[in-house]
Formats: sequence, C-alpha cells, structure tokens
Amino acid sequence: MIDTINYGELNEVMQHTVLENGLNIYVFPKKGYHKYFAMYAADYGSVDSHFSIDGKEYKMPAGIAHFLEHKMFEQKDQNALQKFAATGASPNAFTSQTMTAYHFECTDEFEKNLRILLTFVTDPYFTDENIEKEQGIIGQEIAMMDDEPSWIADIGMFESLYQNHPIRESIAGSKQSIAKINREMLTLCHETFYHPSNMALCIAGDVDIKSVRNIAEEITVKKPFSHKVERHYGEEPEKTGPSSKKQIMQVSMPIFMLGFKDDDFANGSERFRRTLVADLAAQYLFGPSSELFLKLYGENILNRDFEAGYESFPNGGVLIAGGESKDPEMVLRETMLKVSEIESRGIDQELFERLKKSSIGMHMRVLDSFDELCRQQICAHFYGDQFVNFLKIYDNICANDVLWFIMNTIRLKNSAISVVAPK
Amino acid sequence: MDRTIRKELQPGVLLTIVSTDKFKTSCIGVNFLCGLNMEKASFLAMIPSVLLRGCEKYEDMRKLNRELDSLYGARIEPYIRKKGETECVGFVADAIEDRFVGEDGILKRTVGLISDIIFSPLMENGAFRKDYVESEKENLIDKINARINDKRFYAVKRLWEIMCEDEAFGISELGDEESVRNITAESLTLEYRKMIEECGLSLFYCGGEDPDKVEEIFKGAFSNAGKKKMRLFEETLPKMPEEVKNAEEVLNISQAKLAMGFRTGTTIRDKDYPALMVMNAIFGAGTTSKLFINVRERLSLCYYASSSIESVKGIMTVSSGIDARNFDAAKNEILSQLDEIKKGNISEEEWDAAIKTLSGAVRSIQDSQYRLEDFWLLRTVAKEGDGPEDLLEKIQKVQKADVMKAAERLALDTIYFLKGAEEAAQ
Repeated sequence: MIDTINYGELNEVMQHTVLENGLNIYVFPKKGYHKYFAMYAADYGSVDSHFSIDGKEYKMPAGIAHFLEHKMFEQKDQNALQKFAATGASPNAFTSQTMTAYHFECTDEFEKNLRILLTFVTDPYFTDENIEKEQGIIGQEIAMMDDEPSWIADIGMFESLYQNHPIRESIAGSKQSIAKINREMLTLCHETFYHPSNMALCIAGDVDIKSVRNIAEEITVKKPFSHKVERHYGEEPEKTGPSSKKQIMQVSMPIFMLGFKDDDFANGSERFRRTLVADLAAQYLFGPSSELFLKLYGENILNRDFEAGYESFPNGGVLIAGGESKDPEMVLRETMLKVSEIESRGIDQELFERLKKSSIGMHMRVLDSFDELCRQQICAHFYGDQFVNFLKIYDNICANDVLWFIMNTIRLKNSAISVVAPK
Repeated sequence: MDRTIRKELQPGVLLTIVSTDKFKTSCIGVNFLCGLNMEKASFLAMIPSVLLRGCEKYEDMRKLNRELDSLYGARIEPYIRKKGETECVGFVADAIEDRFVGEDGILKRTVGLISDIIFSPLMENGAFRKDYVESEKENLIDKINARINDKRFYAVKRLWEIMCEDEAFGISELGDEESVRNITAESLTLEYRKMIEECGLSLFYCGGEDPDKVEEIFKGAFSNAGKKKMRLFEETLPKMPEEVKNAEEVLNISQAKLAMGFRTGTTIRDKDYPALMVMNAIFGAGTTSKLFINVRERLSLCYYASSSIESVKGIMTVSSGIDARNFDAAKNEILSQLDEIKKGNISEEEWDAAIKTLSGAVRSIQDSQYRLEDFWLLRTVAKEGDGPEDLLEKIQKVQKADVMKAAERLALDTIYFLKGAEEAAQ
C-alpha cells in the first residue's frame, strides 16, 4: 500500500510505503529538478556500541559503527564507489552519533544507482585482509581529525558533560579501539542493525515509488527480524557543577564549544518537538538577533561564525553554542546573566513570535535541499514522526515552552566549556 | 522549464534573472565588481560587513536582524569573492517566496532592505561610525589570521600567492593585517563612495516571481546605482613559466599537504575551455579520476588528491594530503598520471565516467540557487554568456584529441609543500 500525503500549503507531496520485512520507504517526488537523491540509513550510530540480543550482552569497541560504514563499500567483485563512478553518481556516507547513512546524488540512471546502493548495504564482504587495510586508512582519518580544532573542542565538551554515556567517545573511535575490531563483530552488528526493519530509505526526485518499492523488495532481505535487541547507554549521574576543558593546538584564535546538558531529554516521538523547542531556545539566547550575541559581537568577543543549536541522542540532549572567541569564559558568564534576567522578566513575546517565523522559514528551506530533507525525514522517522509535520508542531509551541527549557537546562551546573587555544 | 534573462538595467548594471518555480525561496545576489589590487583589497573586504552593521532605517544589527526574522528568517550574507583578478564585493540573500507564507511583499522588502544597506548606510559627520569600523577591522584581521585553520584550503591559498607573486591574482581578496590596521572610518568611507560610483554592479535573482515584476523591483531599488562602465575582462595570460618554482613551509600538523599549480593557457572565454573541463574531470575531479583511482586507491600515496580549474585566470590546482615521507612518490605519480592523458591513455570507462560526472555536475547547478548565483556572477565577470545547457552541449562534443591538447598545454609553475614540524626536525 502506498500513502500519499499532500502538504498543500508547502506545495509538497510525500509518499510512504512499508515492505513486509519492515523497511519504511519515503519519496518526495520533486518536479522540475535534474537531480535525484537517495539516502538509505540505519538507526545505528556511534553511541550504540553496547547492546543485548535476546538477553546476551555485547560490548563493541568504540568506533565500530563508523568502521562498518567504511567497510560496506567493499564488495566481492568491485568497490561500490567504482560502480557508482561508472554512472557518474556521487555517492557518500556518514556515521553520526545516532545514525549511519549511505547516499548518492545523480542526474542519470537513478534506478541503476538505487540498485547499487541497496545491494552494497545489504551484502557485506568482510575479509581479515580488507579489515586490516581499513584499520590503516581509518587510522589516517583519525589523525586528520586530530588536526581539526572544532572537532577536538566538540569531543572535549561531551567528555566534560557526560561521565558514562557513550556520546563521550569520538565517532571514529581511536587507533587502539579500532585495532580490536574483527570480522565476527562486524557481521554481528551488520545483521543486527542493518536489518531493513531498523532502516529507512528516503528519496527526493522525480521518481515512481512503485518501482522503488519493487527494487527494494527484490534486493533487501526478505526475512522479518525475529530477535529482541536492547541498547544500553549506561547510568548517567546528574551533573552537579560546571566543568571545563582546555587543549592547545595551532589555531589563530581560541575555538570553543559551550554545552548545556539536557536532563529532561525526550525519547520516542516527543523528540522532534523537544528538538524544535530547544532550537528556539538556542536562537532566543544565542541567535543573530539575540541581545547576547549583539552585545558580544559589538565587543569583538564573538564573530559571525558563532552558532547555536540542539543535539538530541538516545538518553540525552545538549544545547551547544560555539565558535571563535578571545574570551570564551565571558560567553558563559553573559549567558548566565541573561538567563537570570529571563527568569525574572520572562520571555519577550514579540521576539519569540519573530523567531518562530524565522525558524519556520529555516525549515521550509530544508525542503529545497535534497540531502538535508532526506536526512531530516529519516531522523524524524527514527523518532517516530515526519519532518514535514514541523509546521503543525510549531503551531503548538508557545513562549512558555521555551521559558521552561531555558530555566531547566541552561543552568551553570549543567554547563561545560571546552576550549582549543593557541600556545 | 527554467528561463534565463540577462539585461543591462542601466550602463554598468547587469541583471540576471533565472525564472523557475521549483524552489521555496528566492535568491538575490548584489555584487560590485572591483579590480583586485593590493591597496584596495582590505578596504573592499570590509565594506559589506560594515554596511551590515546598520543603515539609516535600521541603525543597529539588532533592528536589522529583527527585520530579517520577521521576513521568515530572510538571510543577507556578506560575500567577498575572487574571480580571476576581479574582487566581487556584496551580498547574497535568500527569502521565502511570498506564495508559501501567504504574505505579499517579502521579495520587495528584502531587495529594498539590501538597497538600504548599500546606499543609505548609517553615517556620522559624513563617515561610517567609528565603533562599527573598528570592530569590523578586528573581525577581518581574525578572519585573515584564521586562514591557517583549514590546512587544505590554506595550502592552496599559499600556492597561489607564491605562484602569482607578481600578478594581481596572487593578492588575497581579504588583504593583509597591516593594511587593515591602517584603515580609518574616513578612508573606508572614501573607498566605499568610489566603489559605489565606479564599479560595475551585478544583480541576480532566481525564483518564481514574474520576471517583469522582478525587473521593476530591482529597477526601483537600484535606480541610484548611477551610470558606470562595467569592468572589462582584463586578465592577460601570463608567460608560461620558464622553470618550476619550489616552496616549502612548516606548520604544526600531522598530515602534510602537497599542492601544485599549473598554467592552463585556456580561460573560460576560449573555445577549448570545455576540453579543459573534460581533461580536469579525467585527471582529478571526483572518484572516477586518475588521481583518485591511482594515487589514492591503488598506490595509497595520499589521503585525498584532486584537481580543480580557476577558469578566469587559467590555473589548474592539484591539492593533496599526504604522509610527508611520500612527497617524491606522490609528486611523481601525479605528474605521471598527467602524462598518461597527454599520451592519450584514457580508457573508455574513464572517458565515460568523466563525461557523466562533469555533465551531472553542470546539470545540477540548475538545482541550486546559490550555485546558479555564483555561476552567473563568474560569467558576468568574464563577459561570457553560456548557460549550463550551452555548456553541456559543448562538453558532449569534446574529442579525445582536444583533451590531449589541453593536457599538453598545461605548464607546471609551482610546487608547494606544507609539512609538519616533526618531519622538519628530522
């Protein structure tokens, strides 16, 4: 069965169907575009390294989801990248803290590319030899990320915010952790988390969902998933005070990440709404028209690279504000001053309404960006929601939601500041 | 079907309209085209940021940004771009189209706001506000110094500076720290007035509004741009290098960078430019290229290796990240892959993949408003009229012999090596 949902006010249509093996397929049939974009993603990221299958517990080395992503491209006959290359498509993949996604963009031979995508993600080809080779390649990648100041600041922040949660670990793991990865582990993770029932396929472009469905039915595994999987994220104690971390690198100006741990995080279908509320709070406090940003920009403490947003993951969430600054500590001090002012005076209703308009505009823009649209839709699907529902959800968000978020989450004791500074 | 209209609204003011209803936003570009030179680069680089601090109508960023919020988060970003030896100074903006929010006039208000920002800045005693200028000076200096943070990009920048040290192209579009320090509110205001009076103006719109209405809106908003001469394409092809320059620098990094600069002898205005594009696609653009397949995948000599074309100045740049020990091997292999193309050793698969990758890239420009804006700005600078569809047609006609010729014309000019402090100590 195929559902077609019309979002008339947005001039957008979304089609949806579910295969017998549990795979959810979404299509945004974009007219007038030359390109096609497809994303095939697993609800499986770097935080999912500790789990039980039918009661038996497994603890995988840090970085295994990312390692698996790299390894999937290898196939018995030819690397999948080369197969895409022959059609002129641009394939890529990423592993985030919460998902692993494979995608391609093309202007020709969409169905052929879709077959390549679904086939290589379904059929792994692991050998001891190619695993060992990959350990070298990813070792290089880790070394390159170690040169990336914003990445180092990011990890420093998570390490300071959380004591046990696997969000602390770098997505790629470390040279030591990936050295422990072997064929059995990769096979187990693939069978468990890459089953179609734990995945979603999302396509933007002028395609026919019926043929997409047929191709997916033919290629993905037929058997429904019959095991019980539990994921473990550890017991996380409440944060009892501010923390900070400073590292030295060759940068021109300190780069910082300021994080506030959200203990009221939402799991399940409330997650999408929580994300939108938290994002509004981030804009209210730190956005381009916030008083805090304007004041600190005027004093040359912040520049236009300053950004804030909310990151959501299982059993947690963090409001992050970061960028470059000569005095990152001052950003934290000013934030806490602003929060106490909000506590006594409440939310400026007019500013709130304007920010809501601007956030709605930002979400509408996502509909023009195929990769972002597919990523957001799959993300919302894993939450148990649909991305295009954002209009409805915004309708039901009021100033008090933002006030509550700020009062509960933006506390000094919940904060961590991570700085990468020059010598 | 998309339709492109190009019109000179008044002497020196060129409007490009890409009419299409497939996007949710309209995209607006407003750029002054200025000659790149050492004295002016820093001034020009500062102007958009100072203008965005406030205008007569919205005198500070708070009021300005609140107006943008109420336009459903319209964005106006300052842009400084180097296209050959032209410094493009201005703004690129986007705003939700009126039809999606049931409000009329978002486009008109946004274009009007950009015009206010450019032509009615906030002045005190005939000059920009001192505090705005001083704080944007700091921001620009930080930005100049921050170039070192992105090592991949930094290596290419340094390569160009060294390669073109006697040409305008070697000048950074941001200028340098010392000239920024010397800027005053008065001297900046003077340069701003000169820019408004003298430099050609490139206007761009992409969206679903009726082109006639768009033209009216832009005419109204930019009527005070004055009459001027559009700067001509002044780039001259430099002499081909007599010998290869070698430069080496040391930074505290773990992955070394090797960048190589070639003179192409062909620019976007030449009829063999499509052949150069195909040559570049075969050689180093994307995962089907010789560099990717041989230097990276087969020989594992680098973490990344790719080539790209600067089409106005006529430079091909190879950029790669390597283990410093592999410097000679990587360099030799890159050059030997180029020799393969000169000799015509291009397999059918390589050829087809390159044509497909390149055509796909050109075709999909039409799916992104920002890429269309940049595409047409480049054509305005180069006084070139081919749209994506024209370019596609020419790419299809390229023959293997043309590609071999394009490779043959390349002349290696400079090799730049950026390595880690540890290797340097050994």
